[in-house]
Amino acid sequence: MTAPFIGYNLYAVARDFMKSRTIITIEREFPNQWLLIEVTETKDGAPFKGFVLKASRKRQEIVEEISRNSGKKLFFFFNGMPTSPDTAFAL
Amino acid sequence: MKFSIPFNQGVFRDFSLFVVSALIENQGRSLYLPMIVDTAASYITVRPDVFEQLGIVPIRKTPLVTASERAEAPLGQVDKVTVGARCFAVNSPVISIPLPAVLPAEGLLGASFLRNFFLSMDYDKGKLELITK
Repeated sequence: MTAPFIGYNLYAVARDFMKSRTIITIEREFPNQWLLIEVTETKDGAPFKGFVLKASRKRQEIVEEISRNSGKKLFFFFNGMPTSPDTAFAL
Repeated sequence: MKFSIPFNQGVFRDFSLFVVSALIENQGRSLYLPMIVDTAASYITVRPDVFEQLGIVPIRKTPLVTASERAEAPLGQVDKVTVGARCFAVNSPVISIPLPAVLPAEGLLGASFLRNFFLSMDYDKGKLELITK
């Protein structure tokens, strides 16, 4: 019984990766990770829906996928706050 | 025409920075990046790894002065940059610098893009608008 159960879970994970969902939904599912999303729909010119091509806690793993997916509209970002809210910026 | 530009509400609340999703298109690659609207930056600015992944060819090095250092940065050009539904600029200069890891964005949207528009930033109302010239 164990093997089919694991197989089903892998299938479910793969299916969820390939499903077009709102960016907000994706953000809830992949907190504090770098994300590369193929954008399928925009709203006011900003990404609104898409599906996850890759998620990782390592930035470099995601960056390397950008040129491998040319021809697609991609959205690359870190889903989280990289510093505390009391941080001041002087760029 | 005036266009209201969506921006990241969380980053605005925490840091008073306007971070927008800018679509950078170059050499058949199309990439949305969260970018800080930065009127103190001369150029659109991205990190070196993204500069390379977008296939941007460095034309030359340009002197660079930041808040903390003087250096040089590779300068190139991308085919098109779009912010919001209809605000775009073509053949826009872009530089590459290793931005701090804790920056809540992937780059800076500087004057090489903003110069094509009138810009309205209302911090009290939390409103960002680009007006075409």
